[in-house]
Amino acid sequence: MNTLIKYTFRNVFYNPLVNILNCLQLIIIIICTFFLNFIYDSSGQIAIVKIFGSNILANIFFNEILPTLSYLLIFVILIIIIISFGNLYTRLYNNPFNKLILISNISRVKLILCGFSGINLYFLINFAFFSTALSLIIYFKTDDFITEAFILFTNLFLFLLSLSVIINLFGFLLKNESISSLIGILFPVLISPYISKVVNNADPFLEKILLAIYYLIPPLTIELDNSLKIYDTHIYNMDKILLTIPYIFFYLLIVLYLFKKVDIND
Amino acid sequence: MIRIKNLTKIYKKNIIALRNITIDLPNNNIIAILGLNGAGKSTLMKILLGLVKPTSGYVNINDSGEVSKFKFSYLPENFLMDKNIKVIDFLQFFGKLYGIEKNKLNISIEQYLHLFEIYDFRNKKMGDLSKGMNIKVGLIQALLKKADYYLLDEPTEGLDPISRLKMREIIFKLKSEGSTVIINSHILAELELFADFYVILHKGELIDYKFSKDLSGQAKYEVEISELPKDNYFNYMKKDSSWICNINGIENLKDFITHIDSMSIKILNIKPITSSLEEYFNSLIQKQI
Repeated sequence: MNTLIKYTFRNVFYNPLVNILNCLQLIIIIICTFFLNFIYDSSGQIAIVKIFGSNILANIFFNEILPTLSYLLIFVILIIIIISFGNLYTRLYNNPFNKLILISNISRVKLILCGFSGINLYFLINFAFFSTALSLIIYFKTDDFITEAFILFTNLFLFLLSLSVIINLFGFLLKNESISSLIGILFPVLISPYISKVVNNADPFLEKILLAIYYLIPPLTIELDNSLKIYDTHIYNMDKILLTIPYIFFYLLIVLYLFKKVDIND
Repeated sequence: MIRIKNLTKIYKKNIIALRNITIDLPNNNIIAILGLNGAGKSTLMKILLGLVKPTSGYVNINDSGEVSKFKFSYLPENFLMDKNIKVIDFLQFFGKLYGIEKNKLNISIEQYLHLFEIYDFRNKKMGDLSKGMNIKVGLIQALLKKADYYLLDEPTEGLDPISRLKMREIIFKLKSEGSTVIINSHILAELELFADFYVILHKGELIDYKFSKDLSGQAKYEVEISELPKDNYFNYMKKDSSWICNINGIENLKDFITHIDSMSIKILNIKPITSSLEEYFNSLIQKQI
């Protein structure tokens, strides 16, 4: 089983899209390490933020520039990961290795669980490294250890895990990486809030159908809002995050059930 | 014995791959599955392996009722698994999956890489290898696993004559060790050299099966050897830097190979000139058309 998880992990590591993500994270770490400095006033508060040699008032930087940059960064990271998921899950099901793996002692359930674990383990480790690096850089520059980066990335990881199972399902059903990624974005982020808006105005029969669809979709919009609110309010609602866990199992079970039934013919 | 009973496979869009196949495949034999393109040969192999689910019917191995209890080894057709993986990494990955102990695995891989003369390519990516070399890697993968049943789908396609010869020797060795080898190939003349049992499929239907010894008629072979043997048993003709000998019948061919081997002379190629299997197969197919 370890061999399979390691193999999937290796495939994620060598994936070109994931390499773009790694490069982006490395650039952010380099910028924060070498091109970001803080100047303190007499009371020990940060007065000026020095970035690429330019002096910016701390008030403006923390209230305007940092949130905008953070949202942009999270958006780019999410898009790259969602497209990577489409690519990785489609490959997981189209992998010609599957035929040979399945005739060894590996069952179909194990094959998919190992693939799913390998892919998501990579992003968990990636997020852990990235948030630790950011926290350490801030610690060495300010003598203040912040936990927001950890909370943000734990939150984002759970959000991505919910997306991951949906893209996994569509990657398996459609075997098309672009459409799977697109549905991965549209399904929970756009369709879910849209349904929640129209559900009250629909006729009773349609309302029931829409509600059923609504409850089939993980509450990702709430989760994403939570992730982003951390910057402003430090509010962290664990209950709503944990709500996604049953959804993760639900979608994973559907894939496992369907994969047990299909012919491995490619 | 592999008992196949009323096996039918219908794919989407009502494509019938196999239609009501019933046959017993004898253990410890080299079984050749023959048929034109689309005859259902690969589907039959995949059902035996549990990769494809039959629409109806079943497969029962040694009366156990459970296919998964037996060890299968498989060489898929058009073998090219992953362009970006190195040969050595590929073999080690599957060796580990097959549960082979690390030191033993490394020794086996090295031996097989030398045997198929691809040792120097072990660190190359599989996408950089020729089709024939990829098949050799696939064969090594299949041979690493000690199995009860070896299922080889088009194993000789793209292989050079020397490698075909080695593959034949390996297949005989597997049989002598008690395994059953099931081969799917279009190259009938070659199958005639080693198969014990033929299964002929046409458009998803089983049209005949028989042991090779029951096949009437005699095949003729042209054997190319590296040097002139010092004997008077056979007639040899000079061809460039090698020698040619024409042999009638599979039994004579086996005797000839043993005879040449005993003198440590290298066999460069075995080319069937006329094949009784080919005639038999063609006559069966003609009846169906």
